[in-house]
Formats: sequence, C-alpha cells, structure tokens
Amino acid sequence: MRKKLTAGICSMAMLMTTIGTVTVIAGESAEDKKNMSGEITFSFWGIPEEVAVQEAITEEFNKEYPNIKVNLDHVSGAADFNTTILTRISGGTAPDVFYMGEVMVPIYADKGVVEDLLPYAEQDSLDLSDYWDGVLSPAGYHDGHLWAFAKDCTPYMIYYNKDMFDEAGVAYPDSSWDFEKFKETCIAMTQTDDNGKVTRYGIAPENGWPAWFNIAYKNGGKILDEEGKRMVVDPNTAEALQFYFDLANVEHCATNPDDMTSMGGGEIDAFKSGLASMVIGGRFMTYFLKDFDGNYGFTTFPIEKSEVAPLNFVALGMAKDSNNKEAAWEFIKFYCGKTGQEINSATGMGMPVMKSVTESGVWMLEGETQEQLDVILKQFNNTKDHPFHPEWMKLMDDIFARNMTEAARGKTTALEALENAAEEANAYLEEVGR
Amino acid sequence: MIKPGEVKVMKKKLNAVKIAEFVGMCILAFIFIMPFFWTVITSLKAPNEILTWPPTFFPEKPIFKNYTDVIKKINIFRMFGNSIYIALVTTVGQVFFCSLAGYAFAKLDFRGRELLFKIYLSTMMVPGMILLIPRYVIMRELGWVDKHVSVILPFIFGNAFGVFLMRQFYMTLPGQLKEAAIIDGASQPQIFIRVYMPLTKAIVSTLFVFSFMGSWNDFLWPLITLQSAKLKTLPIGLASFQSLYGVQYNLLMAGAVLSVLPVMLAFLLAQKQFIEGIALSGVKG
Repeated sequence: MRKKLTAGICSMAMLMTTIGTVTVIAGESAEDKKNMSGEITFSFWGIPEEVAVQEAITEEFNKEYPNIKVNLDHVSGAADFNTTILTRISGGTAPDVFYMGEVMVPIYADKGVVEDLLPYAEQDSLDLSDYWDGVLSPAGYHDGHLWAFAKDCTPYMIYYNKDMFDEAGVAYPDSSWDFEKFKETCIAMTQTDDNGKVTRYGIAPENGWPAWFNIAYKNGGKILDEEGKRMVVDPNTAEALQFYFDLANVEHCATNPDDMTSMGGGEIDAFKSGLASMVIGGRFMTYFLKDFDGNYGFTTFPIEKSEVAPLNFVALGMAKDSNNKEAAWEFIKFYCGKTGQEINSATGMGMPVMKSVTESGVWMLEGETQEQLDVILKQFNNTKDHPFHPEWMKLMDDIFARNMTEAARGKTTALEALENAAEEANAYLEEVGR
Repeated sequence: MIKPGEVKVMKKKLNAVKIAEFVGMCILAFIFIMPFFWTVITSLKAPNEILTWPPTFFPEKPIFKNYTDVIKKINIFRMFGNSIYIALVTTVGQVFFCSLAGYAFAKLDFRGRELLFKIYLSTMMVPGMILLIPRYVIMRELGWVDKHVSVILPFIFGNAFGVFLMRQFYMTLPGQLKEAAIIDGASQPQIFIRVYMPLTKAIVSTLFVFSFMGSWNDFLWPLITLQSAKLKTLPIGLASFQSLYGVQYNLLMAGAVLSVLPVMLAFLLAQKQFIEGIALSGVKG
C-alpha cells in the first residue's frame, strides 16, 4: 500500500532550490563509455531480498562498466524513503540515482530536482518503442520529457485460492467476468458459522487508491477532468466504488477497513491465513505468496464497461545535481535494459518494462503458464495513466483517501464521499493556484 | 472496644480486599504482557498462521528458523551494537547536561532566568520535521553525514523536556542545603555535585529511561543520515521487513524479540530505581 508523505515534508520540499543547468551530452563512442569511470550512489528501498537483486544487477553492470563504482544505499524504511531523499537533495548530497514510486514522478519533476532523461535516451538512440506506453506516458514522454525511467511495473490483479475454489465447487474466475459475476463469486466463496458470523470472506479487497481507481476505470470512470486539473464527480466512478464498498457493507462477502483493523494485519495476510479466498494486488503478490501453503491463480479485475488497466511502477530517477550524470545514465540504462530487466523481474516482485522482455515470458516463475502470461499481456495492451498530479499527496493520499475510507466503512455513500472530496480538492487547488 | 468476633470479620474483609486486588493485578498484568506475548508467539509462527481466525495462541509448529533468517538477512548484532553505543552515549550526555541546566534554572539566581527558561521550553513547540533539513545541512558542512557523530551530537546536549523535568525536581529540594554549603565554603560546582546530585538518583533514573528509549527508538534521523550498512541502527534494520506492499510479520517480530531482550534484562536489573523514579516524578512512560 502506498504511504503518504507528511505535510511537513511537502512544505520542506518547497524550500528547495532548483539546481543545475541543462546537461550537454558530448558524443562518445560505445567503447569510450565502457571505459567510463566514476562513482555513483544508488538509493533504493526494499526488503533484504531486494538488496540482493540490486547487488546482482550491479555486479552484471560492473562486468560491462568495470570502472564505475556503484555505492548501494539501502534506505530500509520504504514509507520514509521520499522524506530521506528530499532531505538529502535539499542538503546538497543527493544520490545520483534513486527509486521513485510512480506518484512521485510528477512531484519530483515539478520541484525541478530531477534530470530529464529523454535527451540521454535520444543521444544513445535508445529504442523507446520497445517500452510499454503505460510507463513512459506518466513520466512525461508525450510532453517531450522522461523524468524517470521505470524499472518494473505491474497491473493490479485479483489473486484467488485455487484450493478453496475447488473445495467450494466454484469455477476459477477469468478475465471474462463482469461486476455481477465478481459479486456472485465473492458471495459463493464466503463461509459463515452457525451463528451467521463470517468465518471466511470471499475477498479481502484493498482499500487504497490503486484498487479504487482500477475498479472505477473498469466501469468507465475517471478521477480528474480531461486536462487533469480538477477532481470530478463522475457517476461511473461513484457507481463502481459503491459496488465495491457494498461487497463488504451490504453483501458481507468482503472485509472492510474496520474488519482489517480488528484483524490486525494486511489483506495479503488474510489471504495467506485462509480468512479470504481472494485478494487484490500487483505482481509483487507473487513474491509474498512464495511461502503460501496452497495453490493460487490470478486474473484481471472484473470488466464492466472498459478494459483499461493502469500500470503501477517504480522508476529510477537521476538527481539534477548529480556529479556524475553520464555514469548515472549508463547505470539507469543498464538497469532498465534487457539484462537488468531479466534479473529484476525473476524475483516475482515486478514485471519487465520492455515489451520484448515481457512478451518473451522468460521472467515468469516456475509453474506459471502461458494462460497467465496472456492475462498479463492483455492488460499491458490496455494501459491508461493514473491521475498523477504534482499535488498528489494532498489530493489523493489525503483528501480522496480520507473521504473514500468513510464510504468504504459504510459511513457514507461513495457519491457523497466523491462530492466532498472533489469540493475539498478543487478548493485546495484554487487556493494554491494550480 | 473490638470484640474477638469482629476481628475475624475484619480479617475476612481484608482477605477479600486482598484477593480482589490480586485478581485485579493479574488482569492488568495479563493485559500488559499480552502484546509482548503476541510478539514472541508471532515470531515463532509460519506466515500462513499469523492471521488465522480464531487465532492460535501457541504456534502449531514453532519455527525457530525465523530467528536464524533474521540473523542471516540483516546484520542484527552489528546494528544492536550500534544502537547500544549511540543510545548510551546520547543518554549519558543528555542526563548530564539536563541536570546541569535544570539545576541552574532552579537554584541559581541570574538575570533573565525565567525568560530564558520559557524561551527554552518553547522549543518543544517546534515540530521535529522542520529541523530535518537545517540539521542535515549543518552535518554536511561539518563533514559528519554517514558518521555516528551525526546521530549523537545533535541530541547529546539534552532537550527542553529533560531540562524541565530536572528543574521541577530541583525546585522541590530545599534551598537551605545550598545556603548551608555556601557557609561551609563550598563552590557552586561542589554544591551541585556533592550536595544536590546525590539527591537526584531517582529522577536521573527516570530521565535516563526516557532518553534511552528516545534514542533507542529514533528512526527517521538515523535513516536519513546513516547510509553505510555497518553504521545502521536496529530500528532501521527492522524496517527492512516492512515493504510498501506487505509486512513480513514473523521476521519483524523475531527481530523485535532479539532486540528487546537485552533492554528487558537491563530493566529487570535496575527496575527498583526506575520505578522509584517514575513514582517520584509522577510521569509515566
């Protein structure tokens, strides 16, 4: 689940000055680049296994670029990663390359603290057509920029416990399902005791923006207007979210945020412990289900009016005041290139961002089938940007999430929550002159 | 006059009160010990067993591998050593400087004392987040980023809370002690060290606990300033098990148990002083 930065950091970050000037990249031969020397710092978050991935990629990188030393800086507190990086940038010790969650790309770009990578890519004649549009577009590609280069990505999917479906005699869900079929499946997979108390939920749905926006998109909904400037009260969005929240509050076949609080864990823990037959998440679920005691499958979100599937991703950014931009670029290019992608995706934490690598399926885990690859590819071919905005923290992590959580808890309707959120968000945007 | 029969009734009443007290205490002890108990049993569970309903009070099959996994995945002993070192040095410094300042604000007469104290107290109103960048810039200018000194020095001189705590305590001690010592020819440092300091053992223990806990649990600042793996502290190491997408509860809890054991031991050994200190100050942690 995405964590929000505190308002304090937002205000701190506003103090930052724009550093650096436009980089002029001198033409160099491929051989010159291999002999390039220097030292760069690469900051990333992640569990210990992710540190091993960074080490493996760096080792491969050093086979090609033996004279570039990469200092791995593991910022273990993922939730405080951006606070750490922004403080370091403000303090004049920015890491040369660093992780950037998708929502942070326009924020860093807006603050002017990251390098535009498009001139570097063009200088090297990098074939950007081999990258999914769902990761290029949110990085400003269609506006003539590339504020960050995605390193891995994922659509959001629904994971289901095959053993429980077999036991209940319910057919496995597939990407042909619509909202009604989804609801029927959730109800069919819910179990109660003699007193009517739910002992197993059909689904433990995520209550956060990735799942909310996905379900809204599948109903043809939108969050911001066409220009991406103001929040809108879209009837399709309200309808989809109400349907989603009713699964818990009316049908009692799904957990709501209060259920999760009282259970004291995350949705994935509910799924792993057998308290829910289905759960929502990205490719990273595959990694966290490695020690799952059972069989599982995954499919798309139910499709009602639209097949679009936004991609969530983590990108690599280059600090504008990096002292070794060319070495930093070579590292980013390698990481997001074929070798880096294959190493990075083999863990099950994310999917490749290169079309050729994704389609090859070499990154799929043992036991995963062509059918599952097809489910994934179907979504990659129907991507749509999330409503990224430089004021995301305030608009989405605060206003939208706060209002919508009330609806998820059944305290208000999705439409009312949406109206309140839009009113508050748009007033805020007026106030800050956005 | 109390007759023998009435004594029996009173004894019975007393026994009933004692039993009620005992039962009450047992319930409270159970409530307080449950989170720790839960931490320990979760550290021995398989990931699939963590959130089962109804919850299992004892793991079906204890998995001690969680502990070896933690040790393999993060350098927990090194981190533990770093945490102990940083917390001890910081705490000793804080206690010393807060004692000095508290004594000065309570017992020394100088111009602007009250105003200075109020100004110092008002620093408690400044949110820590606002200080992050200026403090980081100072550390960078001094060349201390990614060194332990960056997480010790900014805090070693104490804080308004510690000074306030010590001042309030010193104010309760009689001024006549100072006057008597002056008549005996004692200097100010002698009065502080030989007359007043020995009387503050309990409150010093309290401040020690608060300061130690604060330093031990400090997360954000060490995360920002310590970059080398060999310098990192325990809270930073344990945070590795919490990713953006999920928490490895079994490993996190195993790490938490490993990290809390020595501190618990220290508390058990010194619990008399700690409890006296807390009772005296009327402040509970």
